[in-house]
Amino acid sequence: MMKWYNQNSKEQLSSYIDNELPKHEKDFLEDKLFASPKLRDEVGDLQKLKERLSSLKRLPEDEFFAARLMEKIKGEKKSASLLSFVKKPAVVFGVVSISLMGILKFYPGLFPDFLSEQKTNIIDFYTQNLKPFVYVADLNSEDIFNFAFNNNLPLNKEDRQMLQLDRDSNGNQFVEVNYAGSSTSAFNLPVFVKSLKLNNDQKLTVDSILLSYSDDIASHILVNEKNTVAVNPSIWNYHNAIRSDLLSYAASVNKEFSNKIMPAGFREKNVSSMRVMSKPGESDQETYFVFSPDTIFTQKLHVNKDDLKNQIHKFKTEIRQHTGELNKLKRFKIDVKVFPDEFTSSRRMKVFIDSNICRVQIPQDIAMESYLPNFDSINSALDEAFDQLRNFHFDMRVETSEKGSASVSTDKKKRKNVQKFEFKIGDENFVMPNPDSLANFFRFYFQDSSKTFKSNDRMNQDMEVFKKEMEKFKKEMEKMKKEFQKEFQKNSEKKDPIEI
Amino acid sequence: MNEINKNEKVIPQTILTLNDDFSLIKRFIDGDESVFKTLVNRHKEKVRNLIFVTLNSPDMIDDISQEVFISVYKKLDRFRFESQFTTWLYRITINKCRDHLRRVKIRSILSPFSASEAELSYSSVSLHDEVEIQEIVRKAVAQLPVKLKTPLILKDFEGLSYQEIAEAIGVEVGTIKSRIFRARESLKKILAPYKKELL
Repeated sequence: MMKWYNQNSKEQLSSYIDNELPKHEKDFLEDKLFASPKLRDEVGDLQKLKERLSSLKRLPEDEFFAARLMEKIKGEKKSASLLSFVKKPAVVFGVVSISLMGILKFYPGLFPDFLSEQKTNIIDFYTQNLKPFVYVADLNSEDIFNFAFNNNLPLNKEDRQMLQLDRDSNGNQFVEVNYAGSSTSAFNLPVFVKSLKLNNDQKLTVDSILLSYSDDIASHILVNEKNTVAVNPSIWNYHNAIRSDLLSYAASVNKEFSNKIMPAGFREKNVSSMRVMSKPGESDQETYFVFSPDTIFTQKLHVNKDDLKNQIHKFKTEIRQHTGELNKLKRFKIDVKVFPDEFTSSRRMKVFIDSNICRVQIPQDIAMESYLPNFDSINSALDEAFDQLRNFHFDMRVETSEKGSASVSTDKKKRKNVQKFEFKIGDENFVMPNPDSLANFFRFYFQDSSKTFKSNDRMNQDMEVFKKEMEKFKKEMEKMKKEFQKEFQKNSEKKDPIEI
Repeated sequence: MNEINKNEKVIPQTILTLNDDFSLIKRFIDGDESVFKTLVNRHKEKVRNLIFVTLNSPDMIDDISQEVFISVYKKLDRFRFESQFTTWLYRITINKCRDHLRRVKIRSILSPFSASEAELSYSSVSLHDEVEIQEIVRKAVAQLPVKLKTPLILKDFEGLSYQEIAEAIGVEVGTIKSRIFRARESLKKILAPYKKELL
């Protein structure tokens, strides 16, 4: 009992002053209190504290509280009676359904109109203040060359934003905005010029051909400050046209090139004139693929192209005169008229979106061939020519040896299990991993046209050197043979005849 | 037989007198909503004072008191007559006070510049005025945690028994006993600088 008291004594004191102790505990505690002045002081303190709390002043009576409360309850009852009706889900659902049916009966176009309005708002927002692509980036001849032969065009060089044109495995054309692309390619304008051995004048002509398309390309790509890129799919035509023009020019200045890379059918055509497809963009094509941060859509935009070209020309002149004055750009204004979306509402596009890529397949009904000279007949020829051109470039690189000898390793061991083939032309050593690659390497040298091969002076020189080396090698071998025979004769003379 | 009849007549009258709240509630449940005003007038001061002491915020008394009685009005038809009406009323009041304190706490977290709870000023130790003493005690009580403060107020200010407090708060009697003791210990510590004047 004593132990229990020690553990709970203070709590017992608290209960004691509240008169909440059972009688036996109360009696026990009172005995202790009688004996302990300290406990009595403690009880006294607790008692005073209790009195302080119980004597806290009460609030003055609020006589009108009940009246105010009843008014409030009355008000709440009114609103609650209304709400109780709304709170029943089935009733609400029924009322909403009936209302909607009624509304739709009288205004069947309500939702389509609303959606159309929202769609128009988005289209208006993203097609506002569209400017030609030249506004943000001036295209140089290398960019245009890459566009033609590597299918990409830098939209924003700093942010690596690229426009990519290509075909999928089924041959469908697509336009793609790549947000982390790269324009680096082994086949570029300097390589092209070097491969064709163009002189300065010819190089300038190539530049002028490329730059003549600059404004056309710029007018087919519109951009604005909302990161919208509107691409006219007829830009594909320029892609083909530039390739065609360049290949035609290349063929006109380098017959050998023409014979080597142009497909047979294409070669027979008269391709000497520049810009064989001189005006590929002159169609009534006004559909643009609009790539915006939120959505991709097609929209018919009317751009006054003559006015646009004039302004681009003016703009470029100003830029040349006032280099760095970017404020001049702000004066650039074109009148882009957004057509009502009747044209686009029925169109379905195949869109592919990745983290960095927005790709749109060009629908058949707006494929540009329908408005233009039929490219189908030459597209395959162009592609073939382009492939040849790539090979051509590779072979020509090998041909760059200025002087020296050509030799082929004749190691018999290597021949037995041919893992690689080593040879030397001029000062350069070449290692081919297998005979197939060697065959590929020599394809240029030994394919159909031997005339072309002969007409190549540098190659002839190399082959002459090679022949001389082989003749020299032959002579050395003959010399060695003679010496060997002499030695053999000497040895045979010294030996005694064999007696049988 | 007459005596028995006499007793039968007396007993119902006694029950009506002892459980006046119950009879009013029954009438309310039976459709006589006018009795609710009587019920309010009978208990409004208890509720108002309990809110005042618990929150120590005169501005909120009227609003929270109204909330309490509106809640009573809405739930009265579900009253089970198992405990006293006042116990039930105190429980609703305590819950409303807790809700309010929770809202204030959330608000104070969201707005760091809001005024903090009034704290005791220890600079003026000499207290002569009873009003000042009352204010000091009220502020000291306000500083207690709600779970200690509520049983203490119900005991010392409202005069409820441990059993009634336990029913109102919804915990065991032993817990109430312990909480009241802890509340007093805390209060003594808070009021230690004023021990001479107060105790």
